[in-house]
Amino acid sequence: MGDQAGRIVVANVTKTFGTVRAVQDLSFTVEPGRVTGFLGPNGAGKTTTMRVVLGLAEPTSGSATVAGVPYAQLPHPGRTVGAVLESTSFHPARSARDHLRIYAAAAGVTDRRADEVLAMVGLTPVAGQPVKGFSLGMRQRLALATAMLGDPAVLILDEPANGLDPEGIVWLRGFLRHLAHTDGRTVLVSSHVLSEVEQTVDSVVIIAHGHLVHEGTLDELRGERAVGVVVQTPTPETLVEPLRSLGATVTRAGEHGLQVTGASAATVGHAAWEAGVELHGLREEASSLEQVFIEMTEDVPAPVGDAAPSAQPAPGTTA
Amino acid sequence: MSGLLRSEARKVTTTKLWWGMLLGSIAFAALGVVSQIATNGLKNNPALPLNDPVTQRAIFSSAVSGYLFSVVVGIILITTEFRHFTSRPTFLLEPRRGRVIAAKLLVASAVGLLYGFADVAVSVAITVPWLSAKGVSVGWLSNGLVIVMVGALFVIAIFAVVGVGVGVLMRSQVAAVIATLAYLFVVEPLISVIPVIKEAYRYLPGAAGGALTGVSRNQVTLLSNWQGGLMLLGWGLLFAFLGWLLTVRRDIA
Ligand SMILES: Nc1ncnc2c1ncn2[C@@H]1O[C@H](COP(=O)(O)OP(=O)(O)OP(=O)(O)O)[C@@H](O)[C@H]1O
Ligand SMILES: [Mg+2]
Repeated sequence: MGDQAGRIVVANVTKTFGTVRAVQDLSFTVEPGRVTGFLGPNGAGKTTTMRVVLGLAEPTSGSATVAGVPYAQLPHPGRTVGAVLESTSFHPARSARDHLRIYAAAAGVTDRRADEVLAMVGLTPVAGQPVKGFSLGMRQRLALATAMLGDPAVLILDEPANGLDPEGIVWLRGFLRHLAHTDGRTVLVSSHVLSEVEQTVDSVVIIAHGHLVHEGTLDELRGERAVGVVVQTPTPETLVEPLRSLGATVTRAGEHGLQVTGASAATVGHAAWEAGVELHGLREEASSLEQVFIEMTEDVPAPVGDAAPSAQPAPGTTA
Repeated sequence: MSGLLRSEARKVTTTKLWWGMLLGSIAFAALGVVSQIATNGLKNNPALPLNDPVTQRAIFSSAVSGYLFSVVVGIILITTEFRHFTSRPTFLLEPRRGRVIAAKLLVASAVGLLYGFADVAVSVAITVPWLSAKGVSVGWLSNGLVIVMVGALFVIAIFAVVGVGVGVLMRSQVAAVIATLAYLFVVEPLISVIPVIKEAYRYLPGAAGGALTGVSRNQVTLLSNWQGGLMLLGWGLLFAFLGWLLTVRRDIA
């Protein structure tokens, strides 16, 4: 499979619903052979972007292509792209097998393929049961099976971990990584929590309020983490001034602790030694990736056209 | 396209809807026929004898009552897809939306034709032995019964297509069913008695269907057989076109 074959390109896509700008001038690229996380808080525009990529929603401006062409022009859409969107599409009275056979016919694959994908997601034992009796996790698996019918080179999955138990999440992680790393497929997975997909994804595309805020590998994102120093001392107040005179930012962390940024552990230890302050603990600590994610997505301005301004806490009021 | 047709046909056959509605349609057709024969000669039914061509046409055309279920099945076939998002995977597999809606309409008309055949067959199965028991001979061709039966079949089939169109327009299953029944049983009959607009009545879907089977309401002159058939076909095509237009233009949920 060539390099261009499985690439998703979103180019300057804007999508408005009435006055709501769901997606604004969004551009990014998703490469084959790796799992890409599509991250953003609730309402960021992830589902909308995916619907545009899949040709379900017409962008207000801009364009999206899969394997070099707009979705509607794919010669074999079912063999190129498999998708799961957030609201599942099952008739409750239909059995899992009947559901899959309906779409197998439309995809031009055999009924045997329907049984294969059922086995792939571990639903063979309940194949004949109506979907209305299925748990959320079973529904997610059936949705995934539907997406796999045409053995597609590209998978676009909207919050596929929703409703999966820890075991299911581990299974999904292995499944998606296999599809990307072993088969070389393109896998785009959305989530509103980074930690949920942190162990699954290789790259991330982060959006907030319809804008791109970060695009890159997970390692690059790790590099964005702020590194701080946590100091434990029985007399924290005696260490504040010496550290501030070095240009570090110091905040209290509990009764006997300080949180220092802008100085290494060695610098802090030296300053304490010089000031004659007794230390009980000294360690460097990187903020979590989730913290980076939250910071990235919260200080993006709200989209123009929002009716009410959101109540933002004034800076510095955090307890 | 053949895969799409198979897919749409499987959507119909994998739930119980189609045969439940088929039973309803047959029951209505049978009821229509039975009441025509049973009330013949009673004082509220013109006492034309059973061997009169008009009476025989009225009996056989009663099979058309089953159209009520074909329009409802058309509505449900499409609104169920909106409700459960089951057309989304179809549109992902075939982004040329016109083809999807064409397959839907073809399958809906096939379901309508099946209902029509069943309704007409049941009415024949009831009428023929009953009349022969009374010593009345059935004038298939001389009394124009074949035309009436083909007309009933056609009406029932077309109304399934109309149902799909109404469903695309209204999206909500309950609203679409209620609006359709209210239209056919309240609005259209009202139009037929309001002086200024009653002239338009004969062109409306219900009346056009009536013309095909020769059943009139409130003494309004209906179109001829062929005009009624063409008019109804026009309504079917209009609703199919509206369904196509909206599906092609709207975002898919
Ligand atoms: N069909 C629609 N009509 C009107 N507004 C919509 C529609 N779809 C989405 N929106 C709005 O667009 C914005 C983006 O929604 P979207 O569903 O794309 O976000 P999301 O990132 O998928 O959020 P979540 O994590 O909650 O799934 C929201 O403000 C939402 O209310
Ligand atoms: Mg979403």
